[in-house]
Amino acid sequence: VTAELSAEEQRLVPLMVGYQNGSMDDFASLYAALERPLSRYLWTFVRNQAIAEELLQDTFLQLHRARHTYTPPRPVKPWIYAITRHVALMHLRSRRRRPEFTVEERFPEVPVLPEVGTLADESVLQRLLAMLPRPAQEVLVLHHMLGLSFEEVGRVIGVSAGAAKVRAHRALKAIRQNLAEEEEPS
Amino acid sequence: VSEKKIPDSLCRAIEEDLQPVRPIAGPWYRMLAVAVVATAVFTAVVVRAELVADRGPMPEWAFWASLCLQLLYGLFLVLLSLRESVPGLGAPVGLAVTAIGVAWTLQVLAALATYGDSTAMTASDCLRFGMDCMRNEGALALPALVLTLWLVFRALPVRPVMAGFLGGTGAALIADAANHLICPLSNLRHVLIWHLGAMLILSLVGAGAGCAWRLAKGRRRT
Repeated sequence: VTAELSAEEQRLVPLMVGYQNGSMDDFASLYAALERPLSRYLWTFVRNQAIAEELLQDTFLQLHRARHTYTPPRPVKPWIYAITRHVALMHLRSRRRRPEFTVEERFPEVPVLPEVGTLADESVLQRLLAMLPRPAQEVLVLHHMLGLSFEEVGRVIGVSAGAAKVRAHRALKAIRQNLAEEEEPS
Repeated sequence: VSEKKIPDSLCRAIEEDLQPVRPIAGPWYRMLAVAVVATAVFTAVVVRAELVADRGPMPEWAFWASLCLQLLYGLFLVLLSLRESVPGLGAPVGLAVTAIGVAWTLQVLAALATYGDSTAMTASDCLRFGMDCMRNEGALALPALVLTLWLVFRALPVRPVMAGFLGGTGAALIADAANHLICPLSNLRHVLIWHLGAMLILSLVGAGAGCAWRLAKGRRRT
């Protein structure tokens, strides 16, 4: 398994093992490596920076409680993103019971998809991305922005790699279509 | 790696509980523990109970082969359930649903294959034998079910209801294999109602445990 791990995974696996052995330094390095990508991923669920940051702490606490469920040398990212997704979905479920928490606001640091980055300016693309349904947006963020393979995306969201690929393809198509419709009158 | 400052509250919480942990065994190893329990229950039934199985028109080898198939498929479902308990390792939804569908189809096909008008019985006899079967199946499933659910919920199933349902169905199949040895009826109606009924109840018990676990976790979080 180790030979097949990506460069990033080869860096994360020893950190995770060190963290399991009780090293605070390794936890700090894991936090530094994952804080930004996890925030971006969480934002796709809540679309609110403050809540995403709050959920990020919950995610690391959950990760801490469940650190025994990681078995080296399996890839760390699918395990961590699956936990992050779990925390986000638990939050959404509790928010349905307490709708007063629903707040919409724009997250300033959502990156632009490389595939469509040349089609329009960043703000338009971010708006189009935010218009997509959550499952489509989730796959795009995981694959195109956070660099997970389709197999890893499938493991995180609980579908096959093929299904994740189809979902991403349809989401990109929807973005291109919406973009074309917006440009048509001009 | 650029060191980013960890929020104080998170840092404190982590530092307070930073003892080394041993990673849990892989799903295959944990499934072996369930396999040992399942084999023990099955062997105990073979050795100690009075074998009164009505095989209907089935030849002996086919009867034992179908029981082995049930046992192995039950353990396969347990394995899927245990994989489900590790974040990022669960089977795709389609595969899990298909696996459950295959289990039910196999049970119905086995019932059809072993169909025989085994006994002419009154309605009250039917009910009595049915209740006996249901009770036996519950008792035989209990060790594998409890062990599977314990192994699942001490990890972190991100889809607890699915994990519980898979574990419940797996334990039910294992129990049904043993129950066939002591069930005196291969009557189609009896098998479809009471054996499949018991399987449904055990599957729902597993799913219910998953639901309760999720609720308890949600409550702890809030």
